[in-house]
Amino acid sequence: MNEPLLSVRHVKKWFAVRSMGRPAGYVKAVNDVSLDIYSGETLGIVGESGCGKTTLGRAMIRLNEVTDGQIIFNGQDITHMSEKQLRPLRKDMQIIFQDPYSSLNPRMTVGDIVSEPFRFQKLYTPAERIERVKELMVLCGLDPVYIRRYPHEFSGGQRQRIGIARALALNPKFILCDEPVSALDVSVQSQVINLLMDLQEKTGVAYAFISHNLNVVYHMSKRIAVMYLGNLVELADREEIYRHSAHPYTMALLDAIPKVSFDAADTLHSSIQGDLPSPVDPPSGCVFHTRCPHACERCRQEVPQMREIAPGHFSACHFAEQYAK
Amino acid sequence: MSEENTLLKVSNLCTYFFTDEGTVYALDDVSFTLKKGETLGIVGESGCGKSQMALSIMRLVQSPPGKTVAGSIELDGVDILKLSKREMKKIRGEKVAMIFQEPMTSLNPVLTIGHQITESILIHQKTDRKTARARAVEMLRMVGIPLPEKHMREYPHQLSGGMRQRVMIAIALCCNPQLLICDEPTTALDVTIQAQILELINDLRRRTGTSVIMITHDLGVVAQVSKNVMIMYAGKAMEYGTVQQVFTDPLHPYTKALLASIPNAEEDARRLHVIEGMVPSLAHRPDGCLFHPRCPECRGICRRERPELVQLEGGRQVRCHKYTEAWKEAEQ
Amino acid sequence: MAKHKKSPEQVEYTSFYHDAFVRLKKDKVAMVCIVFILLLAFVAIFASFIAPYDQSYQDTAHVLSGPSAEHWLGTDEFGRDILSRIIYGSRISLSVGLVAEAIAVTIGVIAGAAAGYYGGIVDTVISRIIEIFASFPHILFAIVIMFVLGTGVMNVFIAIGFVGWTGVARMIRAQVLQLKEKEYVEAARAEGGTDLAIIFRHLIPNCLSTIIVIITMEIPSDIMYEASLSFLGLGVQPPEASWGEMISTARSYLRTNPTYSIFPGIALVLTVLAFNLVGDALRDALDPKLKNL
Repeated sequence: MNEPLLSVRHVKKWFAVRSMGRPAGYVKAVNDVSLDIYSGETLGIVGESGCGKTTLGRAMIRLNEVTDGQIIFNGQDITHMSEKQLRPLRKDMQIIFQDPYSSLNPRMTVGDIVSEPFRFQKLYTPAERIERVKELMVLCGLDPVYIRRYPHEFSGGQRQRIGIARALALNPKFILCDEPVSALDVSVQSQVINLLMDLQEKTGVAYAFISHNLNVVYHMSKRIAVMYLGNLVELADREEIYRHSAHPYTMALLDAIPKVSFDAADTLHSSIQGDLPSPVDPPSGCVFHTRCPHACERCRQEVPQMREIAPGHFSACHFAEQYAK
Repeated sequence: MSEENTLLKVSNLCTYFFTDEGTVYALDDVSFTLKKGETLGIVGESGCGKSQMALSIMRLVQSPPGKTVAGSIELDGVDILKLSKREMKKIRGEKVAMIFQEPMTSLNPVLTIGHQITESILIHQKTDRKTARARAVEMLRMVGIPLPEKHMREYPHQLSGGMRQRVMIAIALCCNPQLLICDEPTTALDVTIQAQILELINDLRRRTGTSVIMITHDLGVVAQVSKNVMIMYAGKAMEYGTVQQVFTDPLHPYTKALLASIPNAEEDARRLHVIEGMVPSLAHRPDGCLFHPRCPECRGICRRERPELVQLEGGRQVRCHKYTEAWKEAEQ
Repeated sequence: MAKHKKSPEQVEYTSFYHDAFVRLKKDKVAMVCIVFILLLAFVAIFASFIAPYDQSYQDTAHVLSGPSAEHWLGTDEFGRDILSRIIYGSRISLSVGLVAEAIAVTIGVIAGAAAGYYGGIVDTVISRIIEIFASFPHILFAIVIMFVLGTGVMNVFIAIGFVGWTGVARMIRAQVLQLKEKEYVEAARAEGGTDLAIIFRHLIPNCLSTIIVIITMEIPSDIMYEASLSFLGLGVQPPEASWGEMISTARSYLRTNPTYSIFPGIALVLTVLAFNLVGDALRDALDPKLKNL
């Protein structure tokens, strides 16, 4: 197996919570997560709101500091690098945001936005920059005549393309896609998904694709990581996750997707009840036991370990082996 | 015979917004009927007028600049567009109730849940505070909130998103409305919570006989809760039929494209089907069929003439030239 | 893709400030005020051509006279033409507005942006300084500075500018706190942008409408401070004319020649009112919340 491009090792990110000015505990936004991303692949990260997927993503490219653990990018430990040391590495890791409105500076033209990475990295002459920007705009399906326009003159889908062009400007090896299609309409969403996949084919960039939408993640990714309450609960190839999921939370998540099919008379049923527990005071043992339909005494007490139950298939459930069968 | 069962009959409803940039045709000539105890799903992308539909039925369209300029909305045989403001106030809450996407904006953050439910019961029903309170507890229990007495004393911010939406449903249902309009009720919620809320709405409809209008952009949601579905595009109804009909055998090119563009784990296509272009601005609509600039099956007539709604067998309706006699003749 | 790119009607071509200007034009009162301010600026620039007399010319034959054909607004105790002195005085009032406000905005924007962006200890220090400044009456502070620096037009600018920055700083800090959460700021960090680049390229340009509104709202109070300082004898020194100084001197002649104090007063009130109304209208026109209506 070749070396991973990005390696996340036992990363923890805790936020201190204060009540009445005194520290009252920690929100364990990300709790001991390890995963690898290889060159040119897409790793999907799914989970519900508050599961820590965004925090983990931001930590991967060092937009967040981590509390504990290691992040290794391209063979270098970037966990504790200063902003100055990181600057040259930033060329290789970029980000695409969810909100096509707040991710583009309303006071800058498309040309300024897309060429800003060159300015910060001190690349090219001004004339070359304009040429590069035009190339990027074409690559992302935007007409280069709009180079002087402002973001608010574009629709949501086009703005998302501008964001993608900006992320691609430096020819990165890795792009973190943080819910890039969640704010878009269905018909535009498919345009952006296709664009992202085409770009990966052309440039060989690796994606970490964060989304709450399992269908989109399945479509985009090679492997999928499922997170719950700051913990990684399952990690496997997408087919494994879909056909042979070995964690009750993944199964519940798959069950809950509203389907456009009519196999059963009444397909609608919510297999898990209750709400997400507070991440300040997570449940003992397995974090999912409060909502798990199969929880037993062992789940309440013993923290399940992430382990390989089949080649490349990891699950953190005490009974993963049984599900796998 | 079907006439008796009809709860809501919307005919040729037009809601326009008169803005500086010109007239925005938010709803243009929309008609449908809803029977008692049934669910109608209204599906469309953002800006297709589906939310204005809900507001028009509630007569809550922001005015100015908006105005319902034509059509009728008959609720139980009464045209509510002709009612006075006071009569309309009585209808809202008592006969028609609505829940929104973001429950936090419709709940008052400084009042307890119990207070808010009790108040809305007292406004519409002549009871004393004590019975109203008891009813409020009962309502919370009905929408599946554990320990309702405890939650009565809590403030909206102490509840999770799913719980807040349950409270909203409780408030909406506390006066036994005949019609419940849900405007994207689960869009702000997680999938597992969404499933719970949809199940709750389905369950309550079955138990209380309330009719439901489910407005959403998510085809999957509609497939699970509705009997009939109306696909809207740029302020017009494009296709209408039962969920089974529309989703298994879509007729309108827009519906077909929409269904094909959803990523689906069952069908493993490398590339997603794409609808080129984007939703037209409702102020500057294209000539002819509103969908023609994006339609793969577009022909000359589509650019020139606005298609009428074509009635097909089985109660289906589709707004496309393809299904008219003229097209079929040209075909031969 | 080919389709939507080529239909220009779907891509609106308007800039934010153009929109704001269109809205501003609809406000009749604001437009009248803007015309008044422009007129005032014209008068101030060409004062030596417009004024019938020099500001220090003494017509000893007419001392403290009321309005007449020769002296439209009358004369003062030395026989100087009041109209001419009001015209020359507009130079002081307007330049106080501009220079002092420029000083205040420069200090305020930098301090506010630094406090908002860096947070932590920087924010604490700057916020405490702002609070200390704000806990004294501004005019008292200005008087103290004037005592230290001595009288003179330049010192008036400095004194007023130096007390006026706290309001700007507070508003910019609040806005930067909001803006720095935006994803484009995060994008700039991901591209390797330095703090300074982020502040000057992303944060301050997005505060521009706030800054414009603050400037128009603060100019009238600066003009009033100048008038107050000159009224107290700390600001502009005779024979140079300033509205505040004129009102101050005219106080002694209220009985003999009331018009002497009334006309500079009217000039002051009209100017302050015009700036205030324009500021109000600008705030409405630039308010993004109204934009979406």
